[in-house]
Amino acid sequence: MASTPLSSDSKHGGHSHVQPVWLLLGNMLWLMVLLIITWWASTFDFGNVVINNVVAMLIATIKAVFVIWIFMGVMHASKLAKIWVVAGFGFLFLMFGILGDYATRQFEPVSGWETNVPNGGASSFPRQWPPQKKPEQVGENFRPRG
Amino acid sequence: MAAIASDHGHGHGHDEALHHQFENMEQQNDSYIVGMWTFLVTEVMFFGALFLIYTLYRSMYQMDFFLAHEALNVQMGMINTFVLLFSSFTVAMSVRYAQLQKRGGVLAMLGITQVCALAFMVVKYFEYQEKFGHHLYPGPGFGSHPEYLHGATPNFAQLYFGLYFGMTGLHGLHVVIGMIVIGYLMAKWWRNSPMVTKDYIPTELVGLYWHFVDLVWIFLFPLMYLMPKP
Repeated sequence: MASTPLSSDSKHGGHSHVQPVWLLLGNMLWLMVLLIITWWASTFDFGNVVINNVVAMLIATIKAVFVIWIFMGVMHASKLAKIWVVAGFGFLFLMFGILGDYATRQFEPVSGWETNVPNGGASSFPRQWPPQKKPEQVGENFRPRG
Repeated sequence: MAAIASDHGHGHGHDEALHHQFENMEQQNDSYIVGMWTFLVTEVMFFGALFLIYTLYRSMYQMDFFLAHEALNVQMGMINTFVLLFSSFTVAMSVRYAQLQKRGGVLAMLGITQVCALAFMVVKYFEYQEKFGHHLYPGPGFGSHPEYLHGATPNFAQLYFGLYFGMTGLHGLHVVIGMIVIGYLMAKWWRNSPMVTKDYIPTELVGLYWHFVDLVWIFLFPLMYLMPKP
């Protein structure tokens, strides 16, 4: 059982880098200092709400990087693991690009498109199946289908 | 790749923990780590979608979210953050002891982690209990005691508490799953199972999961508890 130590090859090869206690302990203490800074920053006004939010998220991101880099051992991981970690958070960043769509939605409904189209302009596809017969719509551009 | 081929048969191949489909321990360990990170990336996207919803609605109803968030107890959130950060340290220590094959150290560190996880859930229980007592859970009875809404519009406050319970609840579920997995890992170490004693990777992978749970909380805490006044 455990009395036979792992071969030296497997102990030092790959990802089995043994992290020193001072690094792990120091990282924890540093994260706790950052936590206190997080709380302090939340009580402090940096100028406006946008900057206050950016500061809060910046501190949280710094904490996250220290957890990932040291506690999760990405520091000593292979290049493949590193690139996969970065790509993973890259996907998250891309997903937040959806907010760009919401930010530009004020243009809808475009004037002239709210009425005079079947289904009230909401969608050209019926949401109910089987499609409900719509009440007769009257409008200058309305053209009955079929 | 030439180095891998020449390594084969020079001791690596005789490692008890090495499975036949891998060239050497380095390749095997790398496969496990990348595989675990693949799972964690799906988890990042899973929670990421919720953070996206949160960002969208908070930007739409900034003042109501701010007023509603005043119902949360910052002290309890701080205590839980300290507890999770400390448990991340003990898990990292357990991985270190697993690499050094110190069974007592692994069991002690995982045991402390379990105590931290339990403490986190107990604090969460008291927080949830208070919110339920104040009728702040989304549903027909929401806001029936308006004094706890701190002046927020009930519908938008309900949106905030829907996200609060949804996100912290899902995070809490991850903590509970972590406790089960760490318990299983401890049982393996307790019985001297070669699965964990000959190979540090199972302990490492459980550790990665636990750090991820910590990571989610690092963002949840400032977003839910420490909103700046709009």
